Amino acid sequence: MRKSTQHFKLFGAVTAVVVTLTGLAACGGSSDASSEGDQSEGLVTVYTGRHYGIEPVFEKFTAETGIEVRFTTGSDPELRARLEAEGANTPADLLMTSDAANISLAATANLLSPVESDVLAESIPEELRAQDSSWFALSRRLRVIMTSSQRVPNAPQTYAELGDPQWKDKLCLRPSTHPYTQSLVAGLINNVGADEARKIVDSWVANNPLYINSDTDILKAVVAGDCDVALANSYYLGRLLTEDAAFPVALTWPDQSTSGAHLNISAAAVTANAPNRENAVVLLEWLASQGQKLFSDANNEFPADSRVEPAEVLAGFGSFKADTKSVRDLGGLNAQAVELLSAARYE
Amino acid sequence: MQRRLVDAFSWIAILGIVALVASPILVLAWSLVDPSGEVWVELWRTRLPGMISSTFILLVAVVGGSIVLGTSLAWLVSAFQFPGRRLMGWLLVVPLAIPGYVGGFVWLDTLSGVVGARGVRSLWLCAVVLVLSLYPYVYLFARAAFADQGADTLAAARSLGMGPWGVFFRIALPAAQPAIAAGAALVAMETLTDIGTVRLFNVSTLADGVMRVWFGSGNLGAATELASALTGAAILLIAFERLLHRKGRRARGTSEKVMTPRSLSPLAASGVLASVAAVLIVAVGIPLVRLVDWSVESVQAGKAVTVAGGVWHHVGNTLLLVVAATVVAIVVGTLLALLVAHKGGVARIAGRVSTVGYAMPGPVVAVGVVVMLAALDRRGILSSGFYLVGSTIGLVYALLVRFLAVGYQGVEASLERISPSAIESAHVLGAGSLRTALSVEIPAARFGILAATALLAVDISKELPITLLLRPFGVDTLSVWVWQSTSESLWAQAAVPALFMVFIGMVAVGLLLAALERGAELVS
Amino acid sequence: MTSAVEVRNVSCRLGEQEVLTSVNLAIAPGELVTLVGPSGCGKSTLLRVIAGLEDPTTGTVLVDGVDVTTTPAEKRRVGLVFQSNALFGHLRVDRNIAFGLRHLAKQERRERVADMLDLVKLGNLAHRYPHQLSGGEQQRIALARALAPRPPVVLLDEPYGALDEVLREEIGWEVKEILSQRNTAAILVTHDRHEAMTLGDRVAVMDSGRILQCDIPRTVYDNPSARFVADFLAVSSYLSLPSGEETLVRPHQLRISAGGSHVVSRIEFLGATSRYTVVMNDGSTVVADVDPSTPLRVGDSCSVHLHEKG
Repeated sequence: MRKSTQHFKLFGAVTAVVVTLTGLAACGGSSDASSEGDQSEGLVTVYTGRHYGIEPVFEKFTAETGIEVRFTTGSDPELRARLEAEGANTPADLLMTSDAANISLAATANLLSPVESDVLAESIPEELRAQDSSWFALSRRLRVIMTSSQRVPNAPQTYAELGDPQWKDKLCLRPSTHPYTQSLVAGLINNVGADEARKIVDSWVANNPLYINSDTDILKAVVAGDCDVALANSYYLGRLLTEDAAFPVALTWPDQSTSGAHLNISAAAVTANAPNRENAVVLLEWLASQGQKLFSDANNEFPADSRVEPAEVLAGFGSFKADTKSVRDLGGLNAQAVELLSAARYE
Repeated sequence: MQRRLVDAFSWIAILGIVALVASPILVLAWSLVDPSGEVWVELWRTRLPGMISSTFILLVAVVGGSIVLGTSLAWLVSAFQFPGRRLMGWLLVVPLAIPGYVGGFVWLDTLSGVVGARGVRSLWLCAVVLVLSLYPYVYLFARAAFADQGADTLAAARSLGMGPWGVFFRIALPAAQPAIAAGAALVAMETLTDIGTVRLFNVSTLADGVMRVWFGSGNLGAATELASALTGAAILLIAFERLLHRKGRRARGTSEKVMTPRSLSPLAASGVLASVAAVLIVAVGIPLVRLVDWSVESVQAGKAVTVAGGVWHHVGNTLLLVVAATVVAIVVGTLLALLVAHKGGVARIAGRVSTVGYAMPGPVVAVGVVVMLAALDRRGILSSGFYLVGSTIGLVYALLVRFLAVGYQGVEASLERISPSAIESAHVLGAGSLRTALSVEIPAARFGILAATALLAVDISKELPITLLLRPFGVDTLSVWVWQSTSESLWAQAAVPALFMVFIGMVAVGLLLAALERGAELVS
Repeated sequence: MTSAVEVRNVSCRLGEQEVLTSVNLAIAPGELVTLVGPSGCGKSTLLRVIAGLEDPTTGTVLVDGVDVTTTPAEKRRVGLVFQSNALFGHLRVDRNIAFGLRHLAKQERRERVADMLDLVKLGNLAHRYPHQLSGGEQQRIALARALAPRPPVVLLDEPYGALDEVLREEIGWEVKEILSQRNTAAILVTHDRHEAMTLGDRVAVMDSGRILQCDIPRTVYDNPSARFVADFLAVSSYLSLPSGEETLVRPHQLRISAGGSHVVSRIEFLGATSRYTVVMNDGSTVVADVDPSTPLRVGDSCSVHLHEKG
C-alpha cells in the first residue's frame, strides 16, 4: 500500500512537469501566434541557402518597398527537407538556394509555385529559369580552371585536359561531397554523355588529385605550390583579388570551343504554400531587377541578367562562353553524377 | 486496485518520456519498412567497404589514443603534486569547449604548414586531431575514478613491493577501467557521428556517407538506413561499455580515505610539469593562439561581422538557449533516471532507448525532429497559427532528443551509487517517493547532476545542425555565426564567435570540475 | 638479538604540525606490540613512517637491523593491513594473496598462496572476489596477503575496527596465533584498550606524538608511568592516603561495605562483578568492582576499603 502511494506521488510530479511544459507551449503559442504563419501586410519570409552578404540586400529591399524581410539561413538540402515537412503550414514565402540542383529538386518535390511575371521574363534569360517558371536564377558563377600564374605558362583549356598525365600529383579538386563538384559532373554528363563524362572523371582521379573542401583553400594551395592546376568557382578568385590585386592565380575559361564553362546559379522561387505570395513575388522581381547588382556583387557573382554590369573585378576576367543550356538539367542529373563520382572513386 | 493503477501510471511516464525523445528517430526509421536495395548494392560495390574500414580504423585509433592520453594525464594530475597542478588540471579540459568544426579547421590549417596540404589530409592526422579534441572525456572520467581510489589500497600495493608504475598499471588502472570505458564510449560516439573534422581531412566515414547519400542522391531512405547501421554500431559499443561497467566493483572501502597527490622530488616534479605542459601547449595553446590571432586579424579588417546583429546578440541567444535546453534536459533526464531507478529491470532498457539521439549524426536528428514536429503541426495539435517547427519549444525539444542521453546517464550513474538502505530508511521514516527523491536521492546525486548539467551546457553551446535548422527567426547563436563563416571557408572570420564559444564552454567546464572535486562521479 | 623493526628517535612534521616527537620503539621477532592512544595522537603516522609512506623529519627506521629510512615503501618488506582491508577489488582472492609474490617461481607462488589460505582457514574461497566475502573473511585475506611475502614485520592499522565485537575477539586471537607461528613481529594499532591488553605482548601508549610508556600489559596496567596512561588503559580511581599522597587504585582493588560517609551513585551489573560508582565525602569519585550480592542500592551510604594489592 505504501509503495503504491509513493509511486502515485512520483507520478504526480511527472504530471506536474508535463503540465508545466504544456503550459509553456501554450504561452509560447499565444505570444507567437500573431507573427507565426499569419498573413501580414508588410512581411515576406525567406529560407535561404545563400547567406554570404545577404543582409544588406534585404535591408535595401525593405527600405525601398516597406516590406519587412524575415529570413533563416541553413544548408540547401536541410532547408528543403524542412519546407517539405512543413507542407501547407510553412511560414516560408521564398526559397533561395546556392545552386541549381537544389532548387530543381525542390521543384520536383512540388514545393515551388510558378510565377508569371513580365519583369522576371524580361530580366532572367530563358535558360536560367525553370521551364514552368517555378524558379529563377538571380546570379551566375562559373567553375573554371585556375592555374598558378608563376608556374604554368600553358594552362589547360578544357575540363578533359585536367586529366592529362602532365598534371599528375599537381591537380586540386573539391571532394564529391560538395554540390559544386556534383553539378559540374552533371553538366559534363549533359554535354558529352555519361560514358565520356566517366572517362574524364577517371582521368582526373588517375592524376591523384588533392581534394580540398574549400575553394579558397584550393586557390591558396595553388599559390603554396601544393598543386599547379585546379578547379574553383570564379567568385572565390574575385574575392581574393579584391583583397590582394597581385594574387598569383590565373583564370582560364574552359571548353570555350564546345559547350562553354560550367555555369551554376544562385536561384530563388516562390514556395507552393507561401502565406505572403504577393510580397514574395515583389521580392523576387526586385532581386531580378533593381536588386540584381547588389545581390550579385555581394558574392562577386555575375548577375543573371547579362545587361547588368558585373562587379569590376569580374569584368577584368574578360568575356567568355558559359554552358547556359545545362542549367535546367543539373538537378535531374545530380543523382547520376553522384553515382558516377562514387563509381570512379573520386573522393 | 490502486496499486496497479499507479504502477501503470509510472510505466506510462517512463514510456511517455522515451517515446517523446525516440519518436523523431523512429519516424526516420519508418523508411526501413521499404529498404532501398539498389542504393545498397551500389554502395557496397563502391564506397561502403572503404567507409567501413576507415570508420573502424579511425574509431580504434581515436579511442585508443584518447584512452592513453586522457588516462595518463588524469593519473599525473591525480597522483602527483607539482606546481600549477590545479590550473593545469582545469586547462586540460578546455579542448572540450572547442567545437570539432572549429578545432578541425584550426588544425588543418596549422598542420598544412608543417606537412603540406596533401600530407595533412590523412586518416592518421585526422585521428590525432580528434584525439586532441576528445581526450578530455576520458581524462574527466578517469580523474573522477582516480579521485575515488582508496589511499590504503595504493599503500597496500606499495608495501607488497609494487613501484609507482606497478601501482598505476596493476591497481589504479584496473580499478578505473569502467570509468575509462565510459569516457571512451563518449569518445567513440563523437567519433562515429563526427562530420566536420573527417570531411576536412578527407576521411570518408559512415557518418560522412550518410550525408553523401542523403544530400548527394536526395535519398533520405538510404541515408537513414546507413545512419541506422551507424546507430547499431553505437548501441553495440554502449552494450560493451555497460558490460565493463557491470563487471566493475567499487575499489574503495567505505571507511577508506581517498588518494591524495604525492609530493615529488624537484626533478621528478619538473618532469611531470613538463609533460603536462607539453600536452597543454599542443592541445590548448596552439588552437587558442590561432583563434586569437585570426580574431585580431578579422577585427582589424572590420570583418568580425555577422549576417544578423552584433556579437552580444549572438552571445545572448547562445546563453539563453544553453540555459533553457540544459535545464529541460537535466530535469527530464533526472526524472527519467529516478523513474527507471524505481522500476528497474525492463525500465532500464526503455531508458537506454532514450539515448538513441546521441548516437545519430546531428543533421539526421535535426531532420527527424522537423519531420515529426511538422506532422504534428499539420494536424493542428496546438492552437491555430502556432507551429512547433521554428519555435523555441521545437528547438529546445530537438536539443532534448539529441542530448537527453548526457543528462540521463550522468544522473543514472549517480543514483546507482546511493545505497538502497538510505532510500529504504527514508521510506520507513514515512517519506513518499517524491519526498525521497527530493530529500535523499537528488541531494545524494547532486554532484553527478551538476556534472551532467555542465557537460550538457558544453555540448549544447557547441551544437550546430539542429540549431541551424530549427531556430526561430532572428535567433542566431554563436554556432550559427561560425557556420556562416566556415561554410564560405572564411576561417579567420569564424574565429571571433569560436572564441566566445570557448569562453562559454570554459565556464561550464569550470563548473564541471568544481563538481568533480566535490566528489561527483561521471559515468556514461 | 636484532630487532625485527626499530624506530630510533623519529620525529615527523606534516605541514605545520609536529605529529611525532622523538619516538623510540624496538620490536623483537615474533613479538606483538599493541599501540593505543586517542585519535590524532600519531599512531597511524608512526605506522606510515615505518612502512615508508611518510618520510620522518629526523630519526632512523631499521628493519631487520638494516637502515631503511631512505628506502621506498615497495622495497622495505613491511606488511600492511588496514581497517578498510584495502583488498584489490578487481582481483580474485588468490590473486590478491599472490600480489606480493611476483619474484617467486610459478609453482612456489601457488604453494605459498595455498599455505596462506590454509593459515587463515579460507582455502575454499580462493576463486572468489573480495566483494563476495564477509567482513571477517576480507580481513583474514588481507592478513594473508600481507604475510605472504614473509615480511619480518606486519603493521596492522585498526584492522578489526569495522567488525562486530564477538568476531573481533575471535579474529584477534587467531591473528596472534598466526603471527607467533610465523615468528613475525607486528604492531597492532587499536583504539580498544581491552584488545590492546589482551593481545599485546607489550602495550605502547601514545599521546601527542610521543610514546609515553611501552611495557608488558601488567606493568602498564599496574604501574603506569603517567596519569594519562593510567586513565587511558583502564578505569582508574585515586585515593588520598592519610600521608597526603594520592594513590592509583583499579576497581578490583576496592571493597565497599554498608554504612559510612560516602554515597553509592551508580551500579552497573557486569556479570561476575558489579561496578559501583561511589561519591566520596570529599566530592571525588571512585569505582569499585564488587561481588554482585552486595546488598547496597543507589543512594545508600557506604564506606570504601583498599584491598591488598596483588
